[in-house]
Amino acid sequence: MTRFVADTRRDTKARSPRLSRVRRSPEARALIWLGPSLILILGVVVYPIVILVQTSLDRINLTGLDKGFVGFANFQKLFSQPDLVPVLWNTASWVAVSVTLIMVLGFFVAELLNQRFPFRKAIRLALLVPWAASVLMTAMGFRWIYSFYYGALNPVLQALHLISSPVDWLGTDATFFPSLVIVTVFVSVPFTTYVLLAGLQSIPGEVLEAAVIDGAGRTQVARFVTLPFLRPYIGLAAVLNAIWIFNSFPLVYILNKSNPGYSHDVALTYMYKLAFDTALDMGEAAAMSVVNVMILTVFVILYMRVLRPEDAEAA
Amino acid sequence: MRSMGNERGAIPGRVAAVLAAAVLLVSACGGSASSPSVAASAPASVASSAAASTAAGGTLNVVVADYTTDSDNWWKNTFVPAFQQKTGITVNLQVMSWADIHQKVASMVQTGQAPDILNIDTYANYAEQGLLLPVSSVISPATQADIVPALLKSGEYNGTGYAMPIIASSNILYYNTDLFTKAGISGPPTSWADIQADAQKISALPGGYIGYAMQLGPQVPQTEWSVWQWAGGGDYKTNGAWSLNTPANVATLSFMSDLANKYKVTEVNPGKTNMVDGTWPLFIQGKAGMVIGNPAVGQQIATKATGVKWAAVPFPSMNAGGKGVVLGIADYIMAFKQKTDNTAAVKQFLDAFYAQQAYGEFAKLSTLLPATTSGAATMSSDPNLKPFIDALAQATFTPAQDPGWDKVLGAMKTYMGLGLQGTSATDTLNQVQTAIGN
Repeated sequence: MTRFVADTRRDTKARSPRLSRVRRSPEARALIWLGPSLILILGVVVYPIVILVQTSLDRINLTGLDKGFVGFANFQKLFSQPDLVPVLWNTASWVAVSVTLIMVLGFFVAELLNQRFPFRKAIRLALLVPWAASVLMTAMGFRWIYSFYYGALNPVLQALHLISSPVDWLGTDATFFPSLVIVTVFVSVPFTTYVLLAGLQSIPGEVLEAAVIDGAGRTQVARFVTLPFLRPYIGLAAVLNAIWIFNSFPLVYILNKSNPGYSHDVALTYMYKLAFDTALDMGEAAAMSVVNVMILTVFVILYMRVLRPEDAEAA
Repeated sequence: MRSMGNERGAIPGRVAAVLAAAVLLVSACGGSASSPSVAASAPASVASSAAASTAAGGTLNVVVADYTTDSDNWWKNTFVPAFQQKTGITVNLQVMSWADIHQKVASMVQTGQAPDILNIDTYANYAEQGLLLPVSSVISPATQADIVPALLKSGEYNGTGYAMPIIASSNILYYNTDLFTKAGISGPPTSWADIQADAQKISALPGGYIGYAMQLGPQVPQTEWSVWQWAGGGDYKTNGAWSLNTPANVATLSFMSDLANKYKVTEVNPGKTNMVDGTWPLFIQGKAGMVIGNPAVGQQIATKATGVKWAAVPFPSMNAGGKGVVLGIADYIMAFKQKTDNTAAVKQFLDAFYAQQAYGEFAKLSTLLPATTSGAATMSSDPNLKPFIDALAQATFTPAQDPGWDKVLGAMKTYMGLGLQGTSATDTLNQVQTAIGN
């Protein structure tokens, strides 16, 4: 910072008397350049967080009027909800299972797309569709696919003799979670594939050739050459996926919208219901939101560690 | 430095100017605040022209709910342009979908930007906060006299009317007359034993029919539950206190659960089925024998030409011979107090809206039932609407005027459906009752 300021000083000195006046306050000059982004960060990041924390410490009545400071009462109420632990558990298992499946599937699809075959470009482009489509639309599409009376899934599975009678995929406790994970994986695999594909293409051909000449089999090449090269990409994709899935509210909201109770809710939909749907308690919802921000902060710290070049090299 | 100094000087100057303007504005409005009482006693035409002159260039922020695309367009393209042209009042109209109107309005109120006029289904919280103008100050006596008395009364809070019914609806029992004939059933059910027997006969027909399409899912569980509850002798409130878990209600929910789980005459997972995208399509497509619904079901059968023949009757009471139950629903239109007095413009707007022709158009396009006597008289000629308009006279309303209702609704959305999905009726209703108490 000081170096930058010193440099600009020297530059401006000779040029114009008007600018030289600014020299007297180098911080002000720096502010001119930093100002817009600072305002943006203050307005879009800091301000909402301040308001959020403030809301979580106030009592907001049903109409939405702020009835003043109540300390940690909202948090106490939130933490005493019997539904909170199941909701957090749902969130954790949903994110963990989805990310794992996405990484494994993404790896295989990336390997496949890294091979030479006809129409490779077209297929690579086609893979973008589930990712590029609006998550809301995808979720609504799957809601119909899974539907007991009108869905496409039940007739197909019955024709294949995989099930003997129709299943209410989103209404049965045992099948809701797998159904949700499938949609989550469906929309996340393309992005993951692209990240891993970029990683695969960054592996120098000589290294792979050398491994083959040294007598390594396919699995050995994958295990000892490809995977180590891919590790930073895997870390990146995994953390970004985790953040993205944690935040993908529309998926759970749409697929879960006819189920009563909170037994299938995740952190974000639970927060939404507390605020706008069932409890109508803005303060408690803000407290839940603070919890969500803390969870996301952990992900972000992980993300920054993954991005640090030293760590990537060490890994 | 000099330019900085100039700017410093300029800003307070501008603030002072704004403050001065604000003071002028406030005093101007203070002056006109006495006029509404004059206007109220003057003939309507004089009142509106006087108001037009004081409110010339005035602005009304109006939020209305989305009923149908046609009614949305009527607001946007017919009523508001005509009103603006006639009065010179600028109307900022926002049509909001039911999916997020509550959320958006809540944040408008929270940030001190409540609209001048709001059309929504709940008003009690706003009345409790003292945010609303009383009905008597925002519509003319003639308009007030045209609104169906029972509906007008449902907009009262502590004896004072704060919300005018904008539109009404009644929910009664639809039955598929073709399926009833096919199953050898002679007429509509007149008791719960009939409902069960009829539903069993229809479910037994070849073709996989659903005897009774039931819904307690988290979208609108109150529609199904209100009707059953009242038919079973229970009520939301007893002696002024919420009474969801009374023995009568437990018996009612147990009976409903038996239909679903013991006799299996409902669709799959009725506790996880919503109404508009759940039970209604089943009936509209002729898959279900009975469903609770409002006139929209019949309308959809007609527009989609599914060929379903139907009739509709008040929901039968538990025992034969009892009075049939009708769930009346009214949505309301209300006016928010503003920092600057806006009653003259609001009154012009609402009187223009409730005028026979304009209101008749709106009621028809909304596909719901009119809340005015003049509207009801003209619309009863439609055979598809007649049973519902007739039923409105004996309708029971949910305690929407109670400030705690939103909380009750939230609790019902969370837990009621579980009572059809394996949780016992007692546990379910106790959970609802506990959640209300919070």
